[in-house]
Amino acid sequence: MAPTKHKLEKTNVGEEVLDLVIPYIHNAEDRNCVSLVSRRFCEIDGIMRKRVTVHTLYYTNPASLSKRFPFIESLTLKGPPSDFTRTFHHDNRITPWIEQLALEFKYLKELHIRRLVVHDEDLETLARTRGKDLRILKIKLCKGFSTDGLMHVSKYCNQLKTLCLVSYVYNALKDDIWIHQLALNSTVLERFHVRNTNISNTEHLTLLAKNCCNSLVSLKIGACSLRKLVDAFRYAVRLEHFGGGLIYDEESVLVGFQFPPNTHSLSIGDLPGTRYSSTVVPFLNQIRKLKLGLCSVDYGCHCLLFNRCPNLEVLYSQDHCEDRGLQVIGQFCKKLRKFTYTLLATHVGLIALAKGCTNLESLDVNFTDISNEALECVGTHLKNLRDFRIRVVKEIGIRYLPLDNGVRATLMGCKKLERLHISHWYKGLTDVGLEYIGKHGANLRSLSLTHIGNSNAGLVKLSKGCRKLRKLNLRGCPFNEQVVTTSVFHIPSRRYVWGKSSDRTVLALIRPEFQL
Amino acid sequence: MSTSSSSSKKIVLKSADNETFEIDEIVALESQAIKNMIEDECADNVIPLGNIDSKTLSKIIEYCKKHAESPKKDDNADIDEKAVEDLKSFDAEFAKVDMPLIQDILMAANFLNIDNLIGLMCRTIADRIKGKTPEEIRKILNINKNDLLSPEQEAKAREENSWAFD
Repeated sequence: MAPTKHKLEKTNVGEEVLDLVIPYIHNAEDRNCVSLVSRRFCEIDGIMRKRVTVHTLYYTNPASLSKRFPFIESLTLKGPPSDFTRTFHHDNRITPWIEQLALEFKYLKELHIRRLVVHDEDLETLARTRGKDLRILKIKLCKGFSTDGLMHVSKYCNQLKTLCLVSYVYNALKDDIWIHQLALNSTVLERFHVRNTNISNTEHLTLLAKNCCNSLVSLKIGACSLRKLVDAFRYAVRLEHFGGGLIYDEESVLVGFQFPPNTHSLSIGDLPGTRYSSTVVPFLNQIRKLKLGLCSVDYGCHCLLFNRCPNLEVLYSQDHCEDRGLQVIGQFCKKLRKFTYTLLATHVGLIALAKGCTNLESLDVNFTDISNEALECVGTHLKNLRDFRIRVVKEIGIRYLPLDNGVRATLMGCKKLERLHISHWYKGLTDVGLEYIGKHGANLRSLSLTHIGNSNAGLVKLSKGCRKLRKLNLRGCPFNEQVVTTSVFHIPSRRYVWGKSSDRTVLALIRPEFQL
Repeated sequence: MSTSSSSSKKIVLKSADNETFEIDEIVALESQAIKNMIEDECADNVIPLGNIDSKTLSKIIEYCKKHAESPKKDDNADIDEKAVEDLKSFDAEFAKVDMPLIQDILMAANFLNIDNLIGLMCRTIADRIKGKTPEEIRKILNINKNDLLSPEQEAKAREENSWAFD
């Protein structure tokens, strides 16, 4: 082969390899960068992109999306952030998207919808046109539809593996005939989540469990007595996750009740240590995820439960043990990755937790008091922390202020931190702390501050850094509207800022042509 | 290095720059393409590889030798951890070469259909692109500047990327 020809071929190698490499680039930001490299790269990325999330507030052209990404298999459509919908009653309808889905997007297998207005007709169009190919349908925090719309989903989407409905309003779904229809048409359903629905007739669920006995691994329903689920659980032998609402069964009526043998994830209202012992205790060793609602005051302690769960990875607790509970968790739950605690703890509990559970990725705790030392401990031990939310509520005497140095230590230690929410009843950080966030919060994407900072200068300093910040929520902070809107203009990836002071709400959606 | 058993069957590969490589058949079988040729009995003499130069080919043979010698996962469910670790660290070392060679190896591995090697090279390139700007990616992959997006196209794509898509 002539050497010149060989050389010529080589200059194109970078583009040839891209076809092969693209499936290995999973991060959406990296894919976005690849799309800007050259025309050919943009084309290949467009053809090969299978998964896209669209923020419909900022992007209103469904036809253009299908032109750029004609072979999408998984589409997530997101409406305005919840702060907006609550404050401004701003509703985004999904209809134009559904109409386009009916025409194009022939490869669609997964559809996730969040915070949009979805009407029954939209569900009908979707089910009739794309229903037979859909494997995953998730509709979260949307309003507008009823069980009539879901009936179409039940009829036409018979290959669904995941159906997930989370609604704003409890009891938004008036009857459960659609579940019966779904049970008749399904044999491959793996995940069925209808959290905010009252299940009046568990016979439908039993039928569903029977017909999908080889596939069903996750079931989340609204309030329902365990006693009524005995038959469903007998069929659902592969079930791994169960979630139900508040359940007030007496132990006496649960004689003989059993969770399916592979259950390792429970999300239920109440699980005091002394009750359900015969039904739950045998499973504790295999439990990986536990979400417990508010437990009754009589049995306010879950410590005896936690110290028998060495494999716990996700825990949501509202027990009354405070620091002692956190210490037990730190001592026994070494695999914990996500922890949410909604009652009150202090720096003592936080230090024990950070030293014990070094795999934590997400931590959301309320405090009566917190020290710089505790925040430094978080920075030293929690190297995988991505999501950190602390709220300090008013109690007798705060001893440790300001928390500037502690927050700096957290940010310098937890390099992966993407979400930081700090709420302090009394000025937890000064302007110096805000400057630290700007300086060391290189990977922050979401930042929420309540009662933080002394003056406008703090926000100006913060917005010199945080180059990846998308969302900024400010509540009760001493920044004026003009500084809020102008300073965050320097942040290249900002999507929205939402601020609320005591007298008015300031809103800055930082897109020039955007009109609410 | 010459191979140990003289009785095992040999395959001869010839690179684009006319260098020949004699290797054990078992090593050659790591390539699905060569395996097919052998099964179809069209690999009697020398297999010419007109689009792979000798530098690339010798790297690929090094890889195939190591992988042919290692116990296969599906042969034995409980192969010892050490062998797996050993292969992992070999792969990591193997990938420590400059980008043009990685791209050449990838294209050649694709032509020869060596699944593991394609995966290894793709992961390596993906890792090097990670967190980089479009301009940096152009440099890393040596992309021809004649094919850049027009300023309008780039602005539109950039706008869509930053506001609308995750």
